[in-house]
Amino acid sequence: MNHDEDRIDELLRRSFEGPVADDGFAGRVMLAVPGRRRRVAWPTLVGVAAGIAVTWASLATSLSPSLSSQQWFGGGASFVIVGMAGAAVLSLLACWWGLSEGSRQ
Amino acid sequence: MPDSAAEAAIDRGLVSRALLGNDRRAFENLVRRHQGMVRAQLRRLLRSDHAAADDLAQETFLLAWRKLDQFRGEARFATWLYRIAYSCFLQAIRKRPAATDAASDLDDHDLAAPDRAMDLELDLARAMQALSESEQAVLLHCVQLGLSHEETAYVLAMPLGTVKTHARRGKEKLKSHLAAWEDAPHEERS
Repeated sequence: MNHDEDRIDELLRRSFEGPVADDGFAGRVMLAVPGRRRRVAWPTLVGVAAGIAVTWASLATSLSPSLSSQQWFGGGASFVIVGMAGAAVLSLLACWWGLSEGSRQ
Repeated sequence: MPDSAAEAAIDRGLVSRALLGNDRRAFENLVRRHQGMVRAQLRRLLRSDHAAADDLAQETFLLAWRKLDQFRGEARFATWLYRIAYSCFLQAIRKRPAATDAASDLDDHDLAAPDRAMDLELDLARAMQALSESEQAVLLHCVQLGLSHEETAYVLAMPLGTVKTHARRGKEKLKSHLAAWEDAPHEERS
């Protein structure tokens, strides 16, 4: 059985022509290769800073952190806390989806 | 295969240079090192349609350039290229199935030439065409391109067990197709 398999392998290897000669192929590819755009960091940094600022502003005006913590430690699951927990879960899901899509492409 | 660990290290170095220094010459070096086998792979997959194979090979290297930052060195660079090339091939045959059928018909016509029927290599080629597409792809990568079962599974995006099964079944089918040739190696057919 092994001997037969070796013979088949040998036949297949012999029938394979092997690597193709370049004949200008690499040069043609390099002519078609586009220049690489440098990734700029500032839009990401501006986005993160804006996100933090907006979150801080909305928490400071509409949802009082001290009120939430009082309710949390008082044992009551208020609408505010449930809403924040829900938003956190959704953010984590969106983050996971973004990362998996990014790595697939 | 010459010291594959050293070859892999050279490839990783070239990839780093191409990425960090945006060094096109490093990428050109990678193209020169691997174009021969990638084109051979695609010519086999496209049944010797050299022009189409070279177009897909060019597309493969352009994609590799675009996605170079996604190469993490978990697989050899050559294996990573084979995977891109195979996925380009799958997309191409999905786009134009009629052209592939026409190529197969031509091959059948060539192989049916009576005066060449005794040639073992032609019989082998005919036997290969009798295998399923998956079995052909697995034997091409495992045996002819010299990849391990694990690397073949990575390139073809198949489970490892499926690769092993296709390899075993493919070889069994080839053996049975070529059995008559082996039983009567000197028999003349007119």
